[in-house]
Amino acid sequence: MRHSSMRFIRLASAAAVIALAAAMVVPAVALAAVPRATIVLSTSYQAKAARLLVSGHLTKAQAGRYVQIQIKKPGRAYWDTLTQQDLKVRATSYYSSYYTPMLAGTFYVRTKYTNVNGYTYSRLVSFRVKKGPGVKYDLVLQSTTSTRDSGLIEALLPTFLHDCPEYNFKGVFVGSGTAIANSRKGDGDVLLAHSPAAEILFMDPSTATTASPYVGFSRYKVMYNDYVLVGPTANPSVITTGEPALTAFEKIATAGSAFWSRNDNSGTNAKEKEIWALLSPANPQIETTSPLTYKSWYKASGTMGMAQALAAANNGGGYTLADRGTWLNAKSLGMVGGLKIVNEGDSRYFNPYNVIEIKGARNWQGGQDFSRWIRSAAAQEIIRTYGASTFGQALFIPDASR
Amino acid sequence: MEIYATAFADAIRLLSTADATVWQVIVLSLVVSGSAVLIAAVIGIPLGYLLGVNRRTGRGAIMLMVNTAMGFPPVVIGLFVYMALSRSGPLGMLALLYTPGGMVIAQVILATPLVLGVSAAAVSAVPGDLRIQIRALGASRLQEGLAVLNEARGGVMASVVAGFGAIISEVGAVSIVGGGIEGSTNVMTTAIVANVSRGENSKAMAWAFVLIGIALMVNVVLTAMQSTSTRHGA
Repeated sequence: MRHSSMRFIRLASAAAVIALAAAMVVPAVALAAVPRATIVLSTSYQAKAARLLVSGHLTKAQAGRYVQIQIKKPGRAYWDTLTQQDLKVRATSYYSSYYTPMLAGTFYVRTKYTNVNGYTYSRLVSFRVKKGPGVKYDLVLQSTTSTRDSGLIEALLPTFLHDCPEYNFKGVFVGSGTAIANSRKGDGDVLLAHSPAAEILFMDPSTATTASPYVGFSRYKVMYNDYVLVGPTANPSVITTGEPALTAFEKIATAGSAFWSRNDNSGTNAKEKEIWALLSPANPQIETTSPLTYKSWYKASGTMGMAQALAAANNGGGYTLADRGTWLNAKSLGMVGGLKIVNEGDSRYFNPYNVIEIKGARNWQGGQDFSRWIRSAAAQEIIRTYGASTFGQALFIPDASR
Repeated sequence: MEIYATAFADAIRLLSTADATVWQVIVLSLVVSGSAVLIAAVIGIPLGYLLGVNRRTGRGAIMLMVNTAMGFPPVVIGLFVYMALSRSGPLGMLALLYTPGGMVIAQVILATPLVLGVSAAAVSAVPGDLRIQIRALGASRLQEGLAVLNEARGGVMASVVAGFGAIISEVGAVSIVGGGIEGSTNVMTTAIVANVSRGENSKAMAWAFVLIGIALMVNVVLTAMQSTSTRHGA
């Protein structure tokens, strides 16, 4: 009997020691959230970046409601959220979350919660991390080829890495449709695309499947430019620049002139298919799942990047739809000597770019930082002036709104 | 003809102006393919030896599978590895997608059947009498294996050369698994594809010449090692 009770005491004391050690290892930052409390800044100091437990208390009346813990990282001028989605206050009026700081410096934390007047903030708490984690966190941007090929991302990157130095930026540049498909599989932290219909589907949670469980969390406008319809200088379909896009496409279909399609689910491909679909049934390329039913003048074999489609149109004497940035770039490289802009300016050619954060992404913090940064004044200014000196006109027009 | 001449001149200029990005791409190509072929050799040569010496009934079927695997399209291997390493795939927690580690995995899967098959063919060409003789002289299994591999070293080295040649020049697997990200996973072949898709054909041709030159240099070295060893041998 005594033997087993001795063992029990030994086990209990071992458990107590382990619990004490664990409590020291996972330090806590407490937030008081009673609005009438005096605001006291209490600093707690961390020797190295580690996992912190951020917790707080509200009144019992708030149990079951959602709060947002906001954190201001060192060197940033804005508030980020501690968790991607709002936290639920438990029945005990207690809420908490773990947080891993990616930087060294002083962090400020506060809670935003609803009250009778709308919302309000708890008192401010700060903690200081003396030493950072020593590694950079991978931030995967899934984006379209036009943002890379126009050189825009290259122009934005140095400033972004200076403002947010804790990330190891990895840009994957594929067509918009592929970028969205990759993001659905969780291989991206943030998405920059220009295919509005596909993006809206991506934001819809009901489109998640077991194989592609990730959807978009938030979607914001970043910039826009326009598409241009380019064709041979001889212009056999006799398209004029001022006429509506639908008329221009109809002329191509009626004359049976060669039209080169990228056929890769990119934003450009989606736009030209959208225009074809609007034409009267007598004329357009037959859009079915089987490519064998395309008309012979609609060249959609294989998948082509934008520059390749332009080169094909240049060599084969056909028409194609291009975004203005890649067109100007290709013209400056001298690859499209046989082509000219035959149609532009229609409102259908509007080409908006949006940034989408992905719900549950591995580095959603990086996604949030990138999304906020690219809409900030500094980035929008870079976008506004990009290309003006090289091409004589800015390639993109900034359009960020919160 | 002139486009090739200008591209060759561009290649020389690319190497001589040698900014850090160019060397980083070349070094990454060599490191990824080099480590992949080393791992493939460690896996493939012993297995090739076992396949080559055993004359059991199942051998024909296994040889058939190895030969089929040798001819597998790299882009299909890349697709399978991508689906496995993707975050919603079975190995997603390893976070190896868009990293050189993932590219090495894909290239190991590509190179191992090649190394295995050619080593097996080389080992099976060694006369069986030699094995009997060595065993009669009191050699252990390991010593017997090493002696047979030593006899077949010309063919075994050729298998490594073939494996390296296959993986340094393939683009499908590394571009799907690695993403061709500039600064971290861009190798020579993905640089060529990126330049072509941007319309910078002369720069792509420059990279092509660099790739051919490097593959040539590596193969010259490996073939020299192969011939000196066979010269000093039997």
